[in-house]
Amino acid sequence: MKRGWFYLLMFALVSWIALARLYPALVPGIAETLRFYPEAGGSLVLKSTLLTLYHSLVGFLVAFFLVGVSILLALYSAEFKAFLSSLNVFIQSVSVLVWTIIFIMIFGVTSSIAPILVTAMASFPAMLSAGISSSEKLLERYRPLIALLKPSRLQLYVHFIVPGTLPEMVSAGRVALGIALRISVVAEAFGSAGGLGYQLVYSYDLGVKAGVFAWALLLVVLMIALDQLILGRLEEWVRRWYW
Amino acid sequence: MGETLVLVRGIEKSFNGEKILEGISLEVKRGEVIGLVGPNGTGKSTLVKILAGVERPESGEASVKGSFSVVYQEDYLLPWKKLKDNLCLWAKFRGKECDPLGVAKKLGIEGFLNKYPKEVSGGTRRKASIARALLVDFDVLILDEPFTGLDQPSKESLLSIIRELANSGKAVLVVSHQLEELFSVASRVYVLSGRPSKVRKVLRGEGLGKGAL
Repeated sequence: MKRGWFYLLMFALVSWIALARLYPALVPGIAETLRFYPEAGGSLVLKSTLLTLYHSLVGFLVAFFLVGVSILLALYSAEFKAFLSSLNVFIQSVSVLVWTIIFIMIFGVTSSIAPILVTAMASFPAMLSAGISSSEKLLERYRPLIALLKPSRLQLYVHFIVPGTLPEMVSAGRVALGIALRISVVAEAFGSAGGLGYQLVYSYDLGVKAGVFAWALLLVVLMIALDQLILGRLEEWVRRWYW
Repeated sequence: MGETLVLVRGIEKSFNGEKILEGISLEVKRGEVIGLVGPNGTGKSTLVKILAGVERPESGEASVKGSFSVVYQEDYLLPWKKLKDNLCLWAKFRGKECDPLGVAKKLGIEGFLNKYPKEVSGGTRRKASIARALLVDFDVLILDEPFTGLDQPSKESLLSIIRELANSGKAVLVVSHQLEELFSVASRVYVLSGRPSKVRKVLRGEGLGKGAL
């Protein structure tokens, strides 16, 4: 695993250096890109990073909460479950660009609500699919035990479905948070609420190539760090609950 | 003998178009321990699931009078709960007090109550699933292969628990391959065989012994 990251880093560095030499007018060098951070100011870099993290995490949590409520309601009503299935297909069929424009029209370009909702819309389907399929498998697997214990629907949800679907939900959440981070910068790029996406497009508009690369690099590092340091470990931890 | 608590009449069940059970009938009365034996694939566990309401028969009648508890062939312990919490699930769902220590001591698993199922051996998991069934309030106890994976002292503890239950007026149905244990505790043993599976013999009294099959 660690060797894989080493090879990737070497590949990225060599490619970057080669491209910067071949196309100096288009691709800034590594040193020039790294110099951008102190020039832009530590507080701007930190604020933009935190803002993107905020948009992504809150959007992800909104989706996670909605999935949890949806699975609970699906336990009570087969009609709602059928509706959810159609809703999921509908949400997946609407482009992120469409969500972005609609939410910016509704909430305004400076509002953080638009990138948060776009992120939620993008991560909701992956988690809902995982949550529904995992809870169906779980209920089938433990049907004999459920017949013996006869829990109420709420007890079934709290003691079986929530902990039992957690391993698959965390795996899906890992993918969804990756989607959330990637999508939030797109939504930020369209609005003026700030964040890495906004700064990236702003640098592009001003023709600051080092800025474009610096913000993009920051985004990639942020995503990898989040995945490897938090989500990967969380996934490993909940795997012991897998049935 | 007391009233009939488990009544099975003419049960038929098929899977994927193949008939597994045909015309199965048996009964278990209050205070009785009844055995059910048969080779693999004769639908014994299916019959247990029909009695527990997990599977539905195509025809026939399967009824359990009063409350029942089941030890399934699979342990079905929840990996996200410690053994003590697995044991007390039934009581927890009804807001009742639960002290798993007594039953755990009888089965020799008191030292594992704070462990998760994946942290203990298969034998301990088996005993935990038996203990969980014993912590349910029941008139009828159905045990599917309860002796599998148990060491000799644990088998003897379980046999003694089964006898105590019968003496206290519970009805017990034991499905097992382990004939020696079954013959030592059951007053009547139904023998299933064939495809589809039927009750071929009912062994009673002196018929319960080595060479009976």
